[in-house]
Amino acid sequence: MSAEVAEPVVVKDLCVSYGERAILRGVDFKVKKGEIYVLMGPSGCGKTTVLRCLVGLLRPSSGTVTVLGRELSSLDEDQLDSFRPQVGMLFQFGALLNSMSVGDNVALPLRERTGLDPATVHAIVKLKLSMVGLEGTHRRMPAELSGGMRKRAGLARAMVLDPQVYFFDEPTSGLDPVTAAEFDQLVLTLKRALGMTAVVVTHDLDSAFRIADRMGVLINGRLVAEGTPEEIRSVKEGRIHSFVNRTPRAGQDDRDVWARFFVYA
Amino acid sequence: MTAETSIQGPDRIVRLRGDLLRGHIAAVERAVDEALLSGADVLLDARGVGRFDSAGAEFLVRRLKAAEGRLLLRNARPELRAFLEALPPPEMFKGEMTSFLKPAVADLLVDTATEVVERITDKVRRFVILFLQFVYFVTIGPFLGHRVRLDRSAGEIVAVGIDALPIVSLVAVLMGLILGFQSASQLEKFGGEGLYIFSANLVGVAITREIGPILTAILIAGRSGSAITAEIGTMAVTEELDALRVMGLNPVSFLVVPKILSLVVALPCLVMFADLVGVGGGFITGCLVLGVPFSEYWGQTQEAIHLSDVFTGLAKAAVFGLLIGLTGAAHGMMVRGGSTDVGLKTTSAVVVSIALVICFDLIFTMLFFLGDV
Repeated sequence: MSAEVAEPVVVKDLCVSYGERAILRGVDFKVKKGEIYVLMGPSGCGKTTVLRCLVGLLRPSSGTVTVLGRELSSLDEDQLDSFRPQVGMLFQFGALLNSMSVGDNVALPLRERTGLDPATVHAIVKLKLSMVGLEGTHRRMPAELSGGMRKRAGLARAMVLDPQVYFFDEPTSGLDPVTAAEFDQLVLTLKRALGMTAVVVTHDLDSAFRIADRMGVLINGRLVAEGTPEEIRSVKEGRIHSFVNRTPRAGQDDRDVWARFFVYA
Repeated sequence: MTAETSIQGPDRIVRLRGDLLRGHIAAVERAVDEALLSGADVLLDARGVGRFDSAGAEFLVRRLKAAEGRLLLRNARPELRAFLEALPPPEMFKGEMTSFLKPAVADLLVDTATEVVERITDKVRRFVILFLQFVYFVTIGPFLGHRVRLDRSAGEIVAVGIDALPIVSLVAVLMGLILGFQSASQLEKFGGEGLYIFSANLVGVAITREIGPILTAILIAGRSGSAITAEIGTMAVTEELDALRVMGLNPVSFLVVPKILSLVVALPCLVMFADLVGVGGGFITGCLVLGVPFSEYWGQTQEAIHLSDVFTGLAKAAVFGLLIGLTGAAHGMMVRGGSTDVGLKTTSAVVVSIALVICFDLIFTMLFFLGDV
């Protein structure tokens, strides 16, 4: 366990580009301990890329990512492997290993990273599964679960080593509104219970405003606004306003061009 | 659909009557072309248009735009107008229409040639890296805290080895039968039926040194090599590989090493079995069909097959297992994008591993020949 850090996630001037294409053009933000920070933005704005940098799956082209006081780009693969149990990541579709039962999936980090005896592992797995509302599913295979259940099982797996920071990739996408709201409730409950620090990436506005302590709006690889949900809601700047209030982008509709080809007779 | 052209002052009017659907466009197009060819401005009167579909609407948009103001649409019903207005305005089609067209064949060839070279170098690089990682994880790794997951290998051996027994034995026995007949027909030319007994030598040596290992390797490449690529590739698509990495588990050590180890163990075992069954097939031809007495055939076989034949075959098989496993896993980890790439990489993995197996077989055979094993 590393020492307590007041700001578990610090991102400085993060740039990522694939060849010519710049995905992130200088992103800066900090997340305080015990805070849920929601990173939102339209599809293709680079949200998931930020997340991949935060867990070291992707190395930034420039800039630094510091998680729990460790600068990720200074770590080699082995050091990353031993660092990662301190963070938990929930993937968009849960990313459970299909070849194993739900219980084995949740138990996997315990079996691989700790020397706990099988009885304790079993007890912890049952505990974590019931925390996410999946009691009694440990024998089922991932393919037998619904999308929402898979995400919750993914969350149980992410929680199993009691990480200090959580990363959520689109936790509510593809869920119906009720299940999504339940998932948000679960996140808030866990936050109260565990004091969890989390970075959540989403384009689901309802969910974002429900769970966020602070939020950032990412558009076109740049963080264009940051603040509490109330602050973000009151932003008047065009793009942010239209994203937060779901209005279509301007310039999409110019019928005048048509007029030249019609004779309205 | 009918399109009637009439003259009104300096303009031509093309009146459309009937449905403007996919099948009707050609007729309208002809009428419009003729009218425009006259040099006059053309009014396309859409009053009589009944039903219309996307193809019809797209036709109108395309022609209106291409005529640059010489062709105008009038009397379009509100439904048609609303539909047209919902389409991107003609201005926005600029340049986009050609982007769907296929590039010229020459460009395509040049592109493909450079792409192929890049792809091959990339593959070789990944293959070598994966090989080094494998070697690391089975030699130095265990001392540095990366345990070798023999429990996972054991499960794989069942899938790769035991489940393959029926097909391997079937093919091996058929090969033995075939070789028996082929060798007999050649021997006959040299000295008649009296030489049939030597088919025991030919079948025995051919099976143990070559056919057994290579045939089994090809079967396993198609059966298990493809399965490895498809499984790992799908895991790459569903972010399962990323999930492993985030849990601090190295996918190579966790997934790939057990699979390769299982192949390295299972393939020689399968080959041993194939040797046995294949020689048995030769025996069926030799004794039951060609009438060589059993005891003679058995004695001849014992004399013909040296232990070194069997061992070289088994050594080759272990290397083939390594090649198949590495190729399969490397291709699986190369999957980017979606399900299409899983299919492409799986095909590629099978083809490449079979080619590699045959290349290495030649290398081995040459080495054994020169080293006189």
